[in-house]
Order: sequence, then structure tokens, then C-alpha cells
Amino acid sequence: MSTTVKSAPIPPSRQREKPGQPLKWIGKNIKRVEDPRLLTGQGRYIDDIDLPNMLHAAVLRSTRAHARIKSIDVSAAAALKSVVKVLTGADVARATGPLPCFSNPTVEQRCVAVGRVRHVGEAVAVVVAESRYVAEDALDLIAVEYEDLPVMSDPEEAVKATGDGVLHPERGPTNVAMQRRFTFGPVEADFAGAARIVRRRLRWPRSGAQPLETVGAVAEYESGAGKFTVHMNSSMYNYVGWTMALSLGVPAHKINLVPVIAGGSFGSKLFTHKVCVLAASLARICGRPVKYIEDRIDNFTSCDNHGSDRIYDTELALDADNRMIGLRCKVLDDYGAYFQFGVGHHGNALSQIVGPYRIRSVDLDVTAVLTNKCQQGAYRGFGSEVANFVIERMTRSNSGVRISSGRRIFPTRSRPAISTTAAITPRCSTRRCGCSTMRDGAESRRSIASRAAMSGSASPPARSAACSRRPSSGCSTSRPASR
Amino acid sequence: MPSTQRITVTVNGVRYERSVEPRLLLSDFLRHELSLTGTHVGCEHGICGACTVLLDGLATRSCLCLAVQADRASIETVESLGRPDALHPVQQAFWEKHGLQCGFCTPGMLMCAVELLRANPNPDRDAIVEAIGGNLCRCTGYQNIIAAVERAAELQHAMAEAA
Amino acid sequence: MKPAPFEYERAADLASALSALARYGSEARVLAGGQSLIPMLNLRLASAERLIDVGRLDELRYIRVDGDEVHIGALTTHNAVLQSPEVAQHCPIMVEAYRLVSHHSVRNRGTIGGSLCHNDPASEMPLVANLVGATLIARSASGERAIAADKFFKGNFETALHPNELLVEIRVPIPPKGHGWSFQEVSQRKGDFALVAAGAVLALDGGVCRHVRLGFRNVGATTFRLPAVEARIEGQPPGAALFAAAAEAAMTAVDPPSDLHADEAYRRDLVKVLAERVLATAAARARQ
Repeated sequence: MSTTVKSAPIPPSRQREKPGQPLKWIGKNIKRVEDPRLLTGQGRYIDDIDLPNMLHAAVLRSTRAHARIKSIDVSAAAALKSVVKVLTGADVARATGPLPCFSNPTVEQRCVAVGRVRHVGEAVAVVVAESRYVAEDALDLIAVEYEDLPVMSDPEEAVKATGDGVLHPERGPTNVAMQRRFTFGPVEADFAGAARIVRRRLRWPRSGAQPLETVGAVAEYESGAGKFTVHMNSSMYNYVGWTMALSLGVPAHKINLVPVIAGGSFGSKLFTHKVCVLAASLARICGRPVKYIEDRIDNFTSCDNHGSDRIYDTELALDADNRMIGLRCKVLDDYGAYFQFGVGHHGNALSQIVGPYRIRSVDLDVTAVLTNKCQQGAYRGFGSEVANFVIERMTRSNSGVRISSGRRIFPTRSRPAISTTAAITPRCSTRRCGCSTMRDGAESRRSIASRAAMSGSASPPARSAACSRRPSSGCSTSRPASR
Repeated sequence: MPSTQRITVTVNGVRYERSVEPRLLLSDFLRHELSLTGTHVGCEHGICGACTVLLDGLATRSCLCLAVQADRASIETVESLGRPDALHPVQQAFWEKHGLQCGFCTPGMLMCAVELLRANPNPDRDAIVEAIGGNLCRCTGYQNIIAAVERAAELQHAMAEAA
Repeated sequence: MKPAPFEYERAADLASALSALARYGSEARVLAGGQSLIPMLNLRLASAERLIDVGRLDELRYIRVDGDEVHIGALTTHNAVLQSPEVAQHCPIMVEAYRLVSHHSVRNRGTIGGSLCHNDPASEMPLVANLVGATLIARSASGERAIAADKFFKGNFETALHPNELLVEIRVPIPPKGHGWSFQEVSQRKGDFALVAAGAVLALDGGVCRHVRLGFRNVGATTFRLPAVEARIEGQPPGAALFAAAAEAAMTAVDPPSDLHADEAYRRDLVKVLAERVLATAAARARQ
């Protein structure tokens, strides 16, 4: 039996405007203030910024999914005219620490791979030159010797891998990056006492934001003051500087972040550590401003912001009235080669795990596994979209059972099988009485029209009545006489 | 080493003489040689259309054109259309109809719309879709862009009638 | 993604283009519209020591009706062909196929000759050239030769052109009155290369199919027309059963590749479905 939730009475409205009163801004089609400059080509995106004496960086991308780096010969590349520096991961790591990671224990990631590459497209060397054209010419001259390691592309295989199939042996003998279980409410009892259990295996494959503009940064280093100025198209200025400072080994006040508008993000520019740390490191190493802009292939393969990639083995416990009471999921999260946000994506999922439904017990058993793919990051739902998909697929299961919830919180397309009586009676299109039953204005207009049609009149009946729900409220909104 | 080539290009009505490497892409020539950064680069291999300009009046992906190929040609970029205080009707229409969000694909869309409306001042929806069909937008879902081009046609008619 | 360095020269006229090709031969690539070559150079999937830019050879931009043929200059842009009333009248399958080729702005620059010489395995025009029985005219500093379409296209990205030759003209025989045609393809999005493309041309004479040509694209590096399947249809009255049987035969006659976009089984299925559709549509048009 579900417990009754008591809620405090809703106080009367203090709104000064009256319903139906013309408003200045709300409900109006307002033009955006930023559009004129964007429309005239005066938006200043990251690649539009050219600083004096600026150099250009390009990264050499790994062609291997999983391999030890046996050797890197940069001599021919470094000798090319107009090339200023060619650096391996080990070179960059001399003054630059690992990138931020919110998991515990951390999974170490460098902006240029050190010792081992863990996905196709991962940076294995970087060139800084007078132009991007020359930098790419130099990339063609870098010779990398790889020793291939077993490739982990199937998360269910990666979970079981040992030895050379383990991506981060320094962290432990397994690719399991995290295994955590979250339980709420009387899960065991609910499943033990369930009249029916619906089971599904659901797969949410990975995707990517693919904004039209890639990630980029233009960094300068003032060696006298030890201070960086970094222009970047991150969406998260207020905090990225703190994490950059950790990687660069400086106090945070030594980083001046200049916000730059972005050509799309959808989450993928939220945390862009790798690009800005790399650009800043290179500016410090070269003593000149450095621009590093991902090209399209860099972004596809190495953006550190792929979307969720998970397998859910899900069970939904139903009581004898086919009401949902318990949800149990075993989740396998194919995270990728690193683990920057740890449990974060699943925290997002947990914040809305039962969706709009009243389900009183939840058991989420999450295993995140490292595989030879670009890691996940923030994309759209940032982990919660999968939980939404799962809960909706479970309630729409084609098991032949009409599943319902104790009380539907949002009005839906009318489904007679759902056991809320509110769906059937005509409803008031305003809520001045404070009645807490959600109203669907469109449905009430439809039901008014259909009742009018049935009664043979073209317009709603002239006689008005007080709301049948709260006769004492004195609400004067005209309503059709109920039945 | 490859020699540079001398080219003369008219861009937005202004004549430029420059020496360029043959491999310099027209997109980079416009953006970095001439500092006309309104034309954007999204993919650099001809898929997204963000780099679209008009070359001798024809919509052209500037990342698929070498600057040397534009010698003696006339180029129009988004900067030729209007100013924030004096928008071109196509720009005005995109503003009214929310035909942009991040703005990155927008210059390419605008140039396609300008080419279309010059050739066909009364485009139907199919013609608009065909004209912008090679340009990607990740923000808007395209419907507002189509509405903006329809509105642009209206605005241009109104201007022609008023004149 | 920037191209590697190359030498560049722009030919002022056909003669200088041909003498440049004679001099540099296989070290050089021809640059026409660049819509196929430049993306490959940008991605560094192709390289060139020297580009010979023929883009200003206006003498190779034309569409003319010459007797019982349509002559198209190799540098005619895709859009010029697509919009040509002569082509619409005398080679409607080319117009129908062109609507499926890439996008408007690419068609503004890309040329029919460039596409044919590039011979991407999923491109449409090489199939059209085979279906209409086109003749490709190749010229070099030492002369000219006519190459039938079925001899022109070799493996992927390969043609019969010698390194010192330039494609200058495409000659399309005007089909007899009453012929029907159809070109259809399945691609992931409109404008993409075809997963499989199909085309059919036929005439109806005395109630039976004549001059049947049926072909596919992206079903094998050198596969275009299927003469054995055409022979099944030739001389038979058109009908759903005939076309279904032909589609089955077509499906087994091809050896399609599996790649990132489609596997062999799906491509075979597309061959079967598209074969029926193009044959039915061609027959319906022939009746009109």
C-alpha cells in the first residue's frame, strides 16, 4: 500500500496581474539582443581570435585503439621549416600534470598520451608551428612505433579482461572503474511480494554532440608574472580555471579566462579541460601565444564528451492492481578510456530515476567499465536521459499488462487504462480556486466542445455554475454544467 | 618549395591583391588573410556548409575552393549583407523568426538564402529546403530557418513595392 | 584539415592544359570543380605533387544537340546539366539522377567530367553514363580518342584515361521516342552517396520491352549493367511478375561490398527492391 503524503496548503496567489491581462514580456515573441551581431558575422568565435606572434598547434592522433607507445621519432618533424616545437606526451608532462578527474580513485588522463594510447584519435604528439598548415605537414613526419594491446570494445568483455586488456593497470587489475549500488525503500520486500515482474534488457548506444564549432583555445603566458590568459569556448568559465590551474601547477588566480561565445555545445563544451590545458602548456613552453582548435576529426574521436553508452537489465515490480511499486536496474556503463565524472552521470540519473511515477523502491546497481573509446562527458541529459528512456520503456512494455501508477502527476494523452478519475470529467481552465488537480486547458476545451455538440448547441451552455469541485470557492469562471 | 601565386580577388566589392600559397583554402584566405571572420569553418571537408559564400553569385563551399581558384572572381560574404543597425532583409527575417541560436551555421544559411532569392523571389518550401539542404544546423532543427527564408521573401517583396 | 603542399598551374586554354598534362603526366592531378578532389586533399586521403587547374576552360562548358546526340562539355557544372532543357528533353534519366547528386552548392562548382573521372564507387553519373551508352571523348596533346562508357570506368577511383589525357566531352545518344527511364537510390540522407543506386532504360515496341538496360551502383567495383538480367526482360511484355523475377536475378548477380554504411545482405536487398521499382517506373513512362 502506498503511504499518503500530506502536503502543506497552497497559499493564495500574490500575483498583481490579472489572468488574461495583456503583459509586456510574457507570452510575447521577443527578438534576441545578440542576433544582430551574429547575423552580420560579427560574433567573435574562438578561431576568429588572432593574437600577435601567435603559433598554431595540431595533434597527432593515434591510429590504434589500444597500444603501448614504444617510440616516437620527432626529428624530421622538428626540422621542418616554420615548426617551433614538437612534443610527445612525456615532454608535455614535464611541466603539466594530469587532467581533472572527479572519480575516486582517479583515472589518470593526460592531454597528450604518455606511454600508452587508449582510443583511436587520442593525441600522441603535438606540433606547434607558424601556421596550422605547416603543423599538419609536420604531423605527417612524426614516426610512432606502437605495440598493440588487446582492444576492449565490448563492455561485457572489458569487464572480464585481465593483464594487457586492462587499460589502467596502475589503478588496479581490472577495467571496472566503479561499482556502486544505490537502494531506496523496501526493494527486497517489494520484489518478493510482487504480483508480477516485468523484465527488459535495454541498450542506449553512444552518440556525440557534434556541435558545428569544435572546441578551441588561444592561450598566452606572461612569464614575468607567471600568468596565463586563455580565451576559450568553454561554457563553464567560473570553475574551469580552478581545474586548469591544478593541471598547470599554478594557483588559480594566475589564470585569466576570457569567455568566448561557442558555436553550439549541447553539453560538450561544458568541461573542455584537455584543449585549454594543452594550449596553455604550449604557450608556456613556447613563450608565444598558441592557438589550438580541434579539427572535425579531433572532435569526433577525442572530444572527451561522448554521450551515454549503457546496458540496463531492468525489472519492474507490479502489485496485484498492476501498479508499479519497485524498480531494479543492473547497469553496465561503457564509459570509455577515462573516467572524468565518476559517478556523476548516475547521480544525474538518480535525481529523476522514477520519472513522473510513484514508485516507492529503487535498486540501482551500476558498474562503469573502461573501454578503448573516447570517454563520456556531458551531452544533453548528462546521464539522466537514459534513465528516462528506461523508465518509459518499462511502463510501455509490451508484456500485455496495462501498467499504472498510484497517481499520474502530469496529464498525458488520455489513456483510459490509467486509473485517474481526473481524466474524464471536464475541467476548469484556470486554477484560481487553487484546486491542485492539474488542468489540461486543451482537453477541457475539447470536452466542452464535444459536450456542446452532443447537446446540439453550437456554444457552451449559457448557464454557468460554480466549479463542481469546490462549490464554496466562489470562482466565477464560467463552466459548463457538469453532467 | 611551392611558389606563391599572385591573385586578385574582389571581396564584398573591394579589390585585393595578395600572394598566396596554392594550397591556401579560400575559407582561410577570407578569414585570416582578409580578417573577414564572418564565414565559419565547421568541418573543412565540404559536409556542413557553414563556410558557404557566393563566388560569382553562386553559393560555394569556401573550404572546397583554393584561394588561387578565386583569382579574378568576385566573392560575397556575410559581411556584405548588412550591419547590426541596418540589416539586410534576410538578416531581419532570421532575427524575427529565430532562425539561429548559436549563430555558427548562420552566415552559410544566409548566403544560400540570398542566392535563392535572387534567382527565385517566390520560393516555395521545397525550393527553400533544396537551397539550404546542404547546410547543417545543430541547434534549430531547421524549421525556423525555413520560416525565416519565407519571411525574407515577404520582406523583399514589401521593400520592392515600397520602392 | 589542410592539404599538403603542391605546385599549381592554371591552364589558360585547352592546348596549354594538354601540354601541361603531357609534360607532368602522372605527377599531376587535374583540378576542375574540386568538389571531390579538395575534400580528399584536405583530409590528406589523396595527395598531388602538382595540380593543373582546368577550371577556366570555358571552351569545355556547353550543352549542344548535335544530330542524334547530346554533347556535353566536360567542365559543364552539375547544376548547368540539371537545369538544361536539352538534357531534360533528350536525357531525362540524367536529370532524374542529378537531383540525387550531393547538394546545390556542390553542384554549382562540381563538373560532370570531374565526377566521371573521379569515379567514386557510390557516385551516380558513371552509372548514368553506362545506362545511356555514353561515349567519353579523351584528348591529349597527341590526339583524341572516343571511349565507350562500358570501357571507361575501371576499379574504384580509376578510369581508362591515360595520365596525359583530359576528358573533354560526353556524348549521349538521344534515345528513341517512347523510351522510359528511372533512376532511384537509397542513401542515408538525401544528397549522400548511394548505399545502392539503380537505373533502368527501356522502350516498348509492339507490347514488349526493347533496348533494355538495367544497372546498379555500389554493388561491386566494376559492376554497372547486368546484361544477363537485361536479356531476361528483352522481348518480354512488361509486368510485375517479370520484373520481380528480374529483381531476384539481379540480387544474385551482384557482389556488393560490406562497409560502415551497409552490409552485403542489405545491399542485396536494396538491389532487389530498387530493380523492381526502376523497371516498373521505366515501363510506365515508356507507355506514355
